[in-house]
Amino acid sequence: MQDEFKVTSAPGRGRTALLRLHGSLDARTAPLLLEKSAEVQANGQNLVLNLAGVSFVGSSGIGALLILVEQFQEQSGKVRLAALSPAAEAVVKLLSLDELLAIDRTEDEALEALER
Amino acid sequence: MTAERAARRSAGTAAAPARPLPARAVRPVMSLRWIVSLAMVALTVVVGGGVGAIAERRARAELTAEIETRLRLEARNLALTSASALLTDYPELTLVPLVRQMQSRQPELAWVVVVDRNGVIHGHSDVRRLGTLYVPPAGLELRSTAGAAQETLQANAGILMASAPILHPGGQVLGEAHVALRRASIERRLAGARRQQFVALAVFLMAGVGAAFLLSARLLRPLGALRAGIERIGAGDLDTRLALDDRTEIGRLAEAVNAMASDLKRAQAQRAERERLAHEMELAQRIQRSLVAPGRTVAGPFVIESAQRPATEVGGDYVDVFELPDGGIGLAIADVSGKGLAGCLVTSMLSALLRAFRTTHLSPAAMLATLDERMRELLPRGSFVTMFYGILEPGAGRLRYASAGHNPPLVYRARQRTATWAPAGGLPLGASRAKVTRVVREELVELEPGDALIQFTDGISEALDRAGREQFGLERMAQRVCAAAPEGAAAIRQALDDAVTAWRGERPPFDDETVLVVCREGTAAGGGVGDDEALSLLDEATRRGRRLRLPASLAALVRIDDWLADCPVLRDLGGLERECLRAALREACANVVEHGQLRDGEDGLELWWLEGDGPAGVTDAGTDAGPAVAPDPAAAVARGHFLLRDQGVPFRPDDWRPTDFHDRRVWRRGRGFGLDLIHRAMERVDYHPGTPAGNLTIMAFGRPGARAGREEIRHAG
Repeated sequence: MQDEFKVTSAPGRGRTALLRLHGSLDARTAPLLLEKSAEVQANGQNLVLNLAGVSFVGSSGIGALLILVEQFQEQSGKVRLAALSPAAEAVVKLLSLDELLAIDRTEDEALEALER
Repeated sequence: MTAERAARRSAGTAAAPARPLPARAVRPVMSLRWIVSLAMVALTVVVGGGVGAIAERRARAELTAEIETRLRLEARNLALTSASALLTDYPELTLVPLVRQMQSRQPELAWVVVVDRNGVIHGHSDVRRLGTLYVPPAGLELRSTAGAAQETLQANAGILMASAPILHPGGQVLGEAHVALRRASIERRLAGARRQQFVALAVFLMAGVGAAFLLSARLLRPLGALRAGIERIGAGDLDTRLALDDRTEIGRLAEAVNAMASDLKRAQAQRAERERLAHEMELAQRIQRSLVAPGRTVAGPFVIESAQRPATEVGGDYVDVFELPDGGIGLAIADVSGKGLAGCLVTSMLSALLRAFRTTHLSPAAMLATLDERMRELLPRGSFVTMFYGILEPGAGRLRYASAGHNPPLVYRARQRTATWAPAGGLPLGASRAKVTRVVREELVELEPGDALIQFTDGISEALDRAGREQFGLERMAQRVCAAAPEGAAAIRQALDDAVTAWRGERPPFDDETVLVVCREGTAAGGGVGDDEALSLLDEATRRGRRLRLPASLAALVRIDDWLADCPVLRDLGGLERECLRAALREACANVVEHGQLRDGEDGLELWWLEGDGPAGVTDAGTDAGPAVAPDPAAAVARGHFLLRDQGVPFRPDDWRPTDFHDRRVWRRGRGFGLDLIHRAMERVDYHPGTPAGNLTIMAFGRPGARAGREEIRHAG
């Protein structure tokens, strides 16, 4: 029943990397996300996070996303979230973070936005 | 402010005893003319003396050389003339008159002597020496010899003597001629020359001094005019212009004085302008004071107190309390960016708009949206307004409000005796010029007897201490409110005012300090911390609620999802709302698991869903605690309570306050957002640690109207 949390790297575009998240993003899995994205950031790239497969987002998950955005911004990089699952969308909206995070409907839109 | 300072200054002068002017030593005036003339004298004397000394040395050398040459020539001539005489038998007859003639012609000659080759004198002015041996005076030193003829020049301290041999035409030496001169005669001639030099020097000196005196008088003449002009300027005649036709530094000085006079005039005009502005500012302040709400309003069980302490200059704070047509009370507090006249104008504008729209039955969110639309057209570029607008329904005991970038309100709960920060957010009115979608969230606060809501402007929370370093801060505000709240609205207002005034010390308020207190009179039902109500709600939940038992492990929390899907009513919630609820419940349980130090296996968590409004006394809806009424599927409004019980170590979530995600420092924190999720998803969260039944967390969910109020109201700007 507990869905495995997975972060898979997909081919990005230009200087932008793409990570697809699956499963429950909570206190136990948030460190894994930070670890994976740190690998991406080592190349000084932007990042698109596809959240379509995310079944649950807890406060630690949100915390990890905010840290990510800050970390990339420090290196003049950008993070965009794409294709939010209902679970992700609900939490983002509940905390009014939709005003503050860069969110796109699809992966392509996010990649395109970072290409400009 | 200027008037104040002037008053202070005059008061200071009056208070000081009349003192005589300090006796400044009067320094004598030193005339430039005399300085220049004396300098000229000194210069002439030094130059004249120096040149004279050099000239005398040269003159002495030249004179000495000339006299030596002449003396040598005299000796040679005498020798030539004496040659034929020495060949005669009586040379004395020729030589004595010759010698005497030479000496009478040149009295400076000491002696003239002609001797034969044996040294016997044959020519001398004194005939008694004739025929005697010639003995040259002692101490003679040879100075030079010249020619093949053995001519010599000898000298001692008093005498200069030239000697020339007397030669026979055949070449034999017949004798010698000596001509001696007294050296004193040289000195006499030099003294004469020196006297002439002194006379010349004196003449030059007098001419120089006279010229210097006249020249300096001519050059310094404009100084009088300059001084007169400066005195006129000093007396206040700033139109004075010095017209000096002078191309020296004095002319430049006059130009500088002219520039100074016109600068002074300009500065005086600017000062007058500032005073005029200060006067206008005072008028503006008076207008603004007239916009501020009355101090105390009573509406049903509610007492509303508002107060404003203005900053020294016109601040941009606005507070208003007014009655609405439907019996509600409108509460507005706003802070205009920018102070001074512009701030005052914006405040007046805001007041006029608010008065115009108050009768139109707008919800708080819609009111802010409407104001934003109007203000955006009118606000000067770069200025904006943060605003809190609420509508108090005194009968229902609730306050609906919306915030446009204003500070969150502080809500005091009498039952828990705690003060927490209620959600607020939004963007300031007029903040964005582009057509963007604005988000205004409407919130609902239920105020029970003894509860209070405090709104304020940042003049309160950001008041600096005496040293000007630390802000008063939200923490201290909450503490003061908690301490004073049992005494009512006036006490809260007074406590905040006293605390901030003491915090500031003697510093005048830098910003307007505005505060609005809404207080529901009475004491909290049950008096205590409300544990009784919590326990009766638990009793109710065990009887008819829907329960989920969970082991104390994070991994087990996923079971909440299935439980929710099985709960009647909840399973019919909209997708996003159900996700929010799921997240909030999992956070609440995770909190207990993480902080409660529960023992594995033994202690678990129990979660109930109790549909309906619960027993009377817990909520003011006051429905009977009868058996559950089948929900009307058409209404599909899920409302009720979630109860969470655990036997772990109680924790104190009292000092929680909403996270301000606009503050990017919060983002780096990366954690501590769980309570935000819970509070935002739930209508109300009460924590009852350590009851006989264990720790109870009671979360009210979906009060009628509240969920609707949380819906985002979006409109295109």
